[in-house]
Amino acid sequence: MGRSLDRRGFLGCLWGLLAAVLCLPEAMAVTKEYQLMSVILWRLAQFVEWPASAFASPDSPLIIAVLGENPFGTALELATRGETARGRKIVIGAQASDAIDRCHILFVSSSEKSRFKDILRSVSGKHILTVSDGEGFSRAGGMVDLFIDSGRAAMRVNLRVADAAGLAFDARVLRMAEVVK
Amino acid sequence: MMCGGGSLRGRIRTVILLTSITVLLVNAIAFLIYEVVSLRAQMVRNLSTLAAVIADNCAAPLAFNVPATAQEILAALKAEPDIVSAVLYASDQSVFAQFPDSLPPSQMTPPDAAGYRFESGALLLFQPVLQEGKSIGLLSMHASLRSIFDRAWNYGIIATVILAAAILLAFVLSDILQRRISNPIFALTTGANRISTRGDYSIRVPKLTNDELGAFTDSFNAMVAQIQSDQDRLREQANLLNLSHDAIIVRDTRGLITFWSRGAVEMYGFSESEALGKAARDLLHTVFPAEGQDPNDHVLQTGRWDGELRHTRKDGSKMFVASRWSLVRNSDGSPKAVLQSNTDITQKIQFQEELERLVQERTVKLRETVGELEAFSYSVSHDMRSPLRAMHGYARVLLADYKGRLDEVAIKYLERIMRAAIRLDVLVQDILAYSKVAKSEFTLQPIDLEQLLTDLLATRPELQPPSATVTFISPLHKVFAHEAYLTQCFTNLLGNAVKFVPPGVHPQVAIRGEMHDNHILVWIEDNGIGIDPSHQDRIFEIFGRVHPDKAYSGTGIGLAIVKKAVQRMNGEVGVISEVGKGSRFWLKLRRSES
Repeated sequence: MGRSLDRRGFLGCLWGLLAAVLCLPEAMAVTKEYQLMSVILWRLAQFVEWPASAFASPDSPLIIAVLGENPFGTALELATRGETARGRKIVIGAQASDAIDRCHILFVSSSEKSRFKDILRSVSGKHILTVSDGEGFSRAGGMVDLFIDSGRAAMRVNLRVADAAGLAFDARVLRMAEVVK
Repeated sequence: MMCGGGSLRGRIRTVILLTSITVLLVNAIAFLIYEVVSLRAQMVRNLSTLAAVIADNCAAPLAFNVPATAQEILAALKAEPDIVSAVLYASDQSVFAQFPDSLPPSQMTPPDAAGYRFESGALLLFQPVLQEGKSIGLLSMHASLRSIFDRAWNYGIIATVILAAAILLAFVLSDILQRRISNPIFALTTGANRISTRGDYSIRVPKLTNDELGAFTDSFNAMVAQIQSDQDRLREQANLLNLSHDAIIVRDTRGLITFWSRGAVEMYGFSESEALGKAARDLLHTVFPAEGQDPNDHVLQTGRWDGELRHTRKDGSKMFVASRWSLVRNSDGSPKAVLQSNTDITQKIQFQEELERLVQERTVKLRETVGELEAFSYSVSHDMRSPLRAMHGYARVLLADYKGRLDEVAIKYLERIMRAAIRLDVLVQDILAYSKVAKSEFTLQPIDLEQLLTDLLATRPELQPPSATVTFISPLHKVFAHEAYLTQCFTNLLGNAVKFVPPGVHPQVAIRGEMHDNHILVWIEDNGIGIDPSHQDRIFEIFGRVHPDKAYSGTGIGLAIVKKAVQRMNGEVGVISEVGKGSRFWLKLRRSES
């Protein structure tokens, strides 16, 4: 399974590269909204502060994991290539469920809408920023709702949950976000 | 006084004012420059901080692509009056947000390198928006410098007001301060002016300060005192000069009159003002002596000149002056002036000329008279001789032819007629001799006295023994004389010497010569009856007899002939005698060397 995943990952990368460098129509297969969202997602890492205990070592990478159906295609990998957040490399983690334990940002796809509560319960008490594009995520105890409103990215932040997880949001982000108590 | 010293006062005031204004202006400008520079620096600082804050705030909107938020953030700039516009560019240099909202793209400042620059009255500032060390956008801000200009303008107005007030203050202060400098100088110039206009050297300048001006005042006063004493002395001298009746004139080296004494005014009729500054030579039409050196050259060479000049008075009359010139020299020896003292000798010269003319006239008249007289006496004497001879001749013939028929008384009368005729004839001959001596022209020549006397004695028996003894002592020297007249003189003198002796005395005559510098004195000493001193002048006059006819015969003309002859030979004759002690006659004749 590991091999098939590697092959797919390799192919995905290859396709992503092809889409980004040679074959724009292929890359355009991912919607414009999710291309934008992929940028917002990784940039959130730059505006959120994790406790030091969230990382194994000072030069440990920041891991982003996607749970459920991946709406970004290769866009997230392309967007984060070479980028850093708080001096750490950004790594897109595997979509396997064990990755949830090691990731710092967990994107829960709207495809998992029905399991929001279960997923959130499993990560509670961990220093993981939970983000979703699904309706009602923050109400269900998620930290950030991401959505695209008439071509512009927008977010809703549940500060209480974030505080409980030991995560601190940059005030500048909160200025643009809708805050849920 | 205000007019006279205005320039100095003004100059001191100008100096003070200019200095103050310059200092104030430099100060104000320096401060203004400093102010503008520091204001600009402050503005850059303030805006940089503001830009940094805004750029930081805009990082999230850029990161999350929320232009509205960025727009909101930029809108806060309206609180800053200096900010004209601001534009937030995304990393692709597209406009992400702008301030104000309505900013048209034409007025947007295009992106540039990070930093700031001043451009046409504006400050342009470019602040990159950084996220994770990466530029995700650029904030450009355009700030007006109006506030700086306004402040500079206000400052300029305030500085101008302060400057004006300071100038006013400096003006008032300069008026007070310059008095301390100008008042002593005014005192000096006023004093000097008064001295020069009035010529009053008794004026002294008050000493107002103890500084260099005070010292200057002291030395000025000392100088004036020196001039005063010199002036007094000069005035005394001038008064002395003016007392003189002589004309005293001083001429400078160009010949122009610089002093004209009162005596000159009186002598020439020109007043002082008419004479001063004129050339003396032209004014007086001076005529210099025809001979000799030009007096002007002479006085320059020797320092003085004396001579007679002819001048013309103001009224045109001519005059003569005895003029004495003296050269006055400068301390370095160069000629400075000629001092001239003229004495009026017109009258003297006129008298002299008049006298000469008169003498000439009278001499001519006298000569005529004498000539006539001599011609008359000669002809009379000459014409008298033939009747005399007739009388003498006929009386002798009568006596010889009629001797037997005449009694003794008739013979005695005839003899008396004959003697009288002879005497008259001798007299006539003497008068003829005298007039001949007086009249005839002759020349003097050297004559040996010994030779002459030896010849004379040899031809005169009455001068030889036994009648008389005449001796002479050699040498008798040589004299300048006329031989015939000198023989006549000695004949008469020796004749008298042997004749006027007391009865029964043998006449003895001694002749000796005395040599003097340029004449010979010949003494003829006898043992005769002598002459009373009261008669001694008279004996040399014509007919100056002192003895009655009866005692000693003679015509009374002999010594007159001697005197006349000696005079005509440029000599003198005299006598030293006492009655009864003989006579010593002397002849003074010009000595001859050869």
